[in-house]
Amino acid sequence: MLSDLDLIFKVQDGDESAFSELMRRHYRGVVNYIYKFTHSVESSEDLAQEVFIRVYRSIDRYRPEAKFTTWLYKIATNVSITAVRYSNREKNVSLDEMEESNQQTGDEKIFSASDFTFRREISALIFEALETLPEKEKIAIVLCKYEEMPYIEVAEVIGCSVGAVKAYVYRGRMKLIEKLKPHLRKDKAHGL
Amino acid sequence: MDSKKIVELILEYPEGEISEANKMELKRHIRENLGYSELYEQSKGLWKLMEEWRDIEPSDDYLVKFWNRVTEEEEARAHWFGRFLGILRFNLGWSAAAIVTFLVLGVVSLYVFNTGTEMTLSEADLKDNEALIDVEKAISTESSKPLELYGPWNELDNPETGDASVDETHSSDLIRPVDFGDIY
Repeated sequence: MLSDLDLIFKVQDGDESAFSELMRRHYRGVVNYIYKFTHSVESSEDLAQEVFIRVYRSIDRYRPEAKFTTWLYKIATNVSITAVRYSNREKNVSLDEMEESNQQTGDEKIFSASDFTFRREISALIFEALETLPEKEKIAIVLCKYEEMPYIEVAEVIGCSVGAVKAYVYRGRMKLIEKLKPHLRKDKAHGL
Repeated sequence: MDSKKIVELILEYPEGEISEANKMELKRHIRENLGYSELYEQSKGLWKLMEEWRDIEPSDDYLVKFWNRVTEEEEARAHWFGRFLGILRFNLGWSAAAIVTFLVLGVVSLYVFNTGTEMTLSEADLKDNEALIDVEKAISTESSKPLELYGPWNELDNPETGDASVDETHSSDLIRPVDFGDIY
């Protein structure tokens, strides 16, 4: 089986099927990585397409000093973070609008909006807990936990030292334990 | 090993990036200390809980979608590039036409305005002009006669010897020739 690097060289020579093979290898991982930031299947797929478009457009400039997956996840991180920031800005605007309309119509609706945060679905709980973390802690946790990336690669993706990655994971994990403590206790009782 | 280090190692433990020696010591601390044991269970529980967030399956046609998008973007780029070139060509044609028109108008207007402004001299001006020409002729003629204008000239050429005689009345104004015999 050809390595990622061999495939990249083939793509650089104009072999499009080699790029399809690269996508077959990494597309699922990238979609799921983005999903941890967006929690939306549809937008995760759209953004993953965007990531691979960017990779395809700039593959001629790729130099094998960095591992392909490091480069790929770096692009995926940038795309995800940009999308999340944009959607948060939109969310803030709509929340502001919602609050304005609540003030006009009465306060009852504010309570129904806060109920939204108490969803029972586990993925939603984890997503919400991750959302509260600072960006770098969140990226470090997702890459370490879900992509099973070693610290050294995570450091390259984030652009920091290995020590800093350890600190991000440590701090992020402590915060997640605090946020999800009730569910951890409950899960422990159920044998987790 | 201090408590901060122990907490750090507990949180790192599930990833397995800890040396064997540290692992042994950590296990001992977890066994002996209830607080560490609880944190360890919570940390492990968190990782297990996070595994409950299942992966999603991308749609089967992602490759088709991708290549369609690449083709669409290339076509769009070619379309925009073509339009840009068209605009550029259109503008270049118009710019050239404007420059040529401007130059032609400039040349024509110069010709028209210059032919109507010939110098006309009055009679007095013509007389002044003639007088100036006479003066110029007078001063440019290399004879002593016209130079009488500038003062009394009493030198009279001796037509026989060709020597210039000096009027004695003005001899004091003239520089005497040096007699070299007095010096030597």
